[in-house]
Amino acid sequence: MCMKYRFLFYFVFLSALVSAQKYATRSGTTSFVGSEETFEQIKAVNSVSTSILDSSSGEIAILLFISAFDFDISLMQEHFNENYMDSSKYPKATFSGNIQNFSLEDLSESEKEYKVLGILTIRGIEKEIAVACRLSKIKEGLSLKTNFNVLASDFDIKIPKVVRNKISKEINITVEYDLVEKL
Amino acid sequence: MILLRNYKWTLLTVGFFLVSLLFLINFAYKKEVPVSEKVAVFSGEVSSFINANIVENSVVVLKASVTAVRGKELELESVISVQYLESESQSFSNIKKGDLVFLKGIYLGYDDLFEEYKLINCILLDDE
Repeated sequence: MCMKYRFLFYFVFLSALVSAQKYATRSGTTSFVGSEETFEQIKAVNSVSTSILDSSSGEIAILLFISAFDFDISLMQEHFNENYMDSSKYPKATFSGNIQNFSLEDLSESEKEYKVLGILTIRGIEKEIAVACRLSKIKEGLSLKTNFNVLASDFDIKIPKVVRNKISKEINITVEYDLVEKL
Repeated sequence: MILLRNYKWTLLTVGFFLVSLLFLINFAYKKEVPVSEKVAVFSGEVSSFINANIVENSVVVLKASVTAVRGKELELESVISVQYLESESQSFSNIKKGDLVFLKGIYLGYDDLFEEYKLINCILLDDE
């Protein structure tokens, strides 16, 4: 085989290998609870979060649209987007990080805990975070779950005095993604 | 009658309070307007949609061909990801790759990860 074709063969082969090592979702579930135990809890679900995981390096990226958070009460959703998150100015929240010591071969159907380090960006403010996540193999690919708290003040989310006893300073975020092999 | 006369102001105050409370509850718990009833800011084909600089979170109507069907998601002309509500599963169930669809949904924005435009809560429209 001449050098040119051999190079082309390796290029195509490696490209296929790299693309096969990515797992992704366009419909991940990200939810949060941002209130004390009040009559109407402040909670919302975003079920169209996107994420890509590179299984060869453990690099992970998450992107979600703030306005896609769905509340039970539409007025609450309106306030969340306009008064707290300013979603027209900052429409996205992102996370970019690395799953420490990640190895696809180590995964099984039972959950294994990993540490994730990365940068969480909300309202244009970047914050370095370290959280624990649980990974397992599922029929379609990988399951990624995590639950962690962030401080509203870290992202300059201002809580008016009048509702300060209803909205907690710490927001509890839950992530549940089923990542399928990206072709 | 005497009772009504004696407690007129109390009854009026209580009545006013109850009406206000009902109004407040109704306002706070108002249902979100479904996509089908919302006014679309854009109606057209994918090429003009991309060049139209549409504001995020706007309702759009698109006519486009399906380039992929991934479970409960569609891909339109390789650049738009379409997601629909569980309640719309039935109407979307017969859509297959290559079909021409006419749909209405909320444009969320551009997804930098997948390099595609994202539409959610989509409903199928009758092509007239």
